[in-house]
Amino acid sequence: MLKVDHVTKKYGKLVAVNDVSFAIGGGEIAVLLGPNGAGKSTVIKCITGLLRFDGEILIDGEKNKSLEAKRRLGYVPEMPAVYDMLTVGEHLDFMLRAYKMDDDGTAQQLLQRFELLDKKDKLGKELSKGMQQKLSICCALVHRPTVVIFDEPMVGLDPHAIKQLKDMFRELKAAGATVLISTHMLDSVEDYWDRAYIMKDGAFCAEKAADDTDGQSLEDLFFALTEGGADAAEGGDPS
Amino acid sequence: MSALLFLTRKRLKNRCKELVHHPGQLLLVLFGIAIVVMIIVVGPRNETDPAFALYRPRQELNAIIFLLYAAVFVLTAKGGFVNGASMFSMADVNLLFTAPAKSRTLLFFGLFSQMGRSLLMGLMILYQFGWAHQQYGITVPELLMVLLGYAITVFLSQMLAMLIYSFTAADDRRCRIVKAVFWGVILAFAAAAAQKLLAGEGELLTKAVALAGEPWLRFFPVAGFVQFGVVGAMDGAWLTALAMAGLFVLCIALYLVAVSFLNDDFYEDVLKATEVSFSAVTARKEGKAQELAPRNVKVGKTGLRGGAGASAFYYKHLLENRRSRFFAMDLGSLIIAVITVAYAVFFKSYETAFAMSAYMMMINIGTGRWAKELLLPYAYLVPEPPFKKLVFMMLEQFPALVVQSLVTFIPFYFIFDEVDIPLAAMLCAARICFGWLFIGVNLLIQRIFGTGGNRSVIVIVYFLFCMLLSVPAVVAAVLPQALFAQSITVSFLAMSGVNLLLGTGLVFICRNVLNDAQLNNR
Repeated sequence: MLKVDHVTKKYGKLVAVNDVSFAIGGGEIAVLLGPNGAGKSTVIKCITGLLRFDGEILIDGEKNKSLEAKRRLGYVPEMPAVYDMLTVGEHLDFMLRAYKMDDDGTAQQLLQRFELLDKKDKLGKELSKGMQQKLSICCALVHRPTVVIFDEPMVGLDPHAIKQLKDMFRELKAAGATVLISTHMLDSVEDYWDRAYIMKDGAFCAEKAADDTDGQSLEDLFFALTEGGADAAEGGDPS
Repeated sequence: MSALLFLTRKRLKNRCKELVHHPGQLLLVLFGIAIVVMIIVVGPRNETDPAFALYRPRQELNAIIFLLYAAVFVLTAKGGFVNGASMFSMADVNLLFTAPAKSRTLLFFGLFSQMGRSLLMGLMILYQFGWAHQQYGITVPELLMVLLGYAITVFLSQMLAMLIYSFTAADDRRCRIVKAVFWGVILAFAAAAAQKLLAGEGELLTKAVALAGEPWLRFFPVAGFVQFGVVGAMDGAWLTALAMAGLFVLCIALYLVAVSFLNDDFYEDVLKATEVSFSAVTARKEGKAQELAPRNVKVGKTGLRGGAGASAFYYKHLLENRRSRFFAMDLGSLIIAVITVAYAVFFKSYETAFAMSAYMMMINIGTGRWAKELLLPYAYLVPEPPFKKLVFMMLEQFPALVVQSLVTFIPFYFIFDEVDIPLAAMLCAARICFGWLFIGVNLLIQRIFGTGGNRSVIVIVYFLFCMLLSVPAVVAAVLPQALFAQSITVSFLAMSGVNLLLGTGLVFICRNVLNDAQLNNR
């Protein structure tokens, strides 16, 4: 469960995120959409505790900066977060140790799914950007988080990895995890989203549930709301 | 050609415009100029004071100049075995290399741009006017000659680095051979110098100074003949200076022949170095960590040797240091240790050598791996208390501090009669505590500026903080002697205590630096 309550983020006079509120339940996949500079990454960085903000964010009922909340959170950043001098296997070893978790075979499974097992002894700096992104995803999931935030996770991934990631989204959902995905690749999330939050100029301009789209695709909805003017937002529920 | 002139003119013009649009940068430039002017105006000592009537022998200055040029040559040229050196920016590569221009014209363009940059890199030498004039009576034109010599050394060393890279990049066997030749030549000179120093009677220092005037040292690659030319010009031996200038021109001509005629398609050779420097600049802009890693990293035994929670960072750092081939003493620390010992022998004072060591450590202390950790999200995401994480992230720097202090000050026990074991131990402790203080200042600077901000301003503020916060330790060292006539050992003990407390205080003040990334990625 992820609850974002009246969150505002300012950089000096610039309001990057203005009074945003939403909640995503366990077993739900929410997508965060919006044009460049809309404030998606800022919201995500607030949720992950990387930025200071006004308002409140709860992760499974715990304040997002508490250790308990951090323990339950998984985060895939926009830029792959990889250590140059650690091998692929050591990245997961490090994450498990840092989170004080035992390896129950998840690390091996993740590496296998993302075709990194044969590169287990390769250094982070030797990986291509796509492979670094896959490793970043593995690092975010290896400690078995219950709330997972993905910021543009598909960038640089090959078709196999994209398919695996989509399957992973579904599995996380089936396991009752809360998933929030920020992406520009609308068609990649078309068939499994539960909620869509569309941002513009630092605020939500619409919130849609998957069963409340009147047959509109996510892409149509997005363009209608971001480029089509106020009347196009009919049916939206700006918060 | 006219397009290249246009580009050069525009670049210079835009750089000046940028200064006008960024008053902070303009102030910095003016501040830098003011400091140089002040040093040159205030620096000269009172010539009428009989206590300052005698300068130290010029041969010492000549030896220092040779050592500076030789160090610059070795450190720059050896880069050719990793990724060469680039005279071009990424924009040059993408726009000029693909344009219908002659590759040789572009090579000249790159060379001239690089010459300007080399000169800029040496501007720090101007700040040395004060002590160089006090000790050796150097004049402003002479200092400018030293600066020119420095720029020429950097320039030629970079050209050699590019040649080495272009010749060895695609062939490991060639690389091994050239590496053997390169280090063989350097070692041959070092061995000959050592033999001269150890043979015969006389003081080591006198022999070392005399060594710099040996004719065979002029054959030391680049540094040898450049120093000879600069010293010749300073002594008014213009024929020598002209001959060396001719040699410089010959080097450029040979380089052009080598690159342009033997390998007309040099684009590939500069591409790697350009990409590496571009990615370093981009990474700095994006606030990403850059690993100074050797080209061929030996993975060795895999896996972290321990760690749970915050301590996992410490064990990770140990592993990363092993792969980066950092074992307590990096080249910079070794050079500082050697300079400190040489300084001690030179000026026959362990107190001033200690001060020199602390001053150089201010420049070399670096930020360690904790600063790189702040740029990745894991430092904030790992569910452990921020202060605990910070302590474990900084832990890897301590063994290095201890080893560096031991290597620097154990020789003092053998050099000075008055340095007994307790005093040598206190010197080590005082240096470690100064290191701890400077690490604390680094952390404070990180807390104030994050990874953003103007680098020059950050460096100036860092030095100001270092100097200001060193004052209490200096006072603490002077007081026991002045008030209670205590031994110098007690002074160094007091100095260590104060720095330990101050450093710990700084770390405590900054304990929440890992609370969120906003402080560090502005």
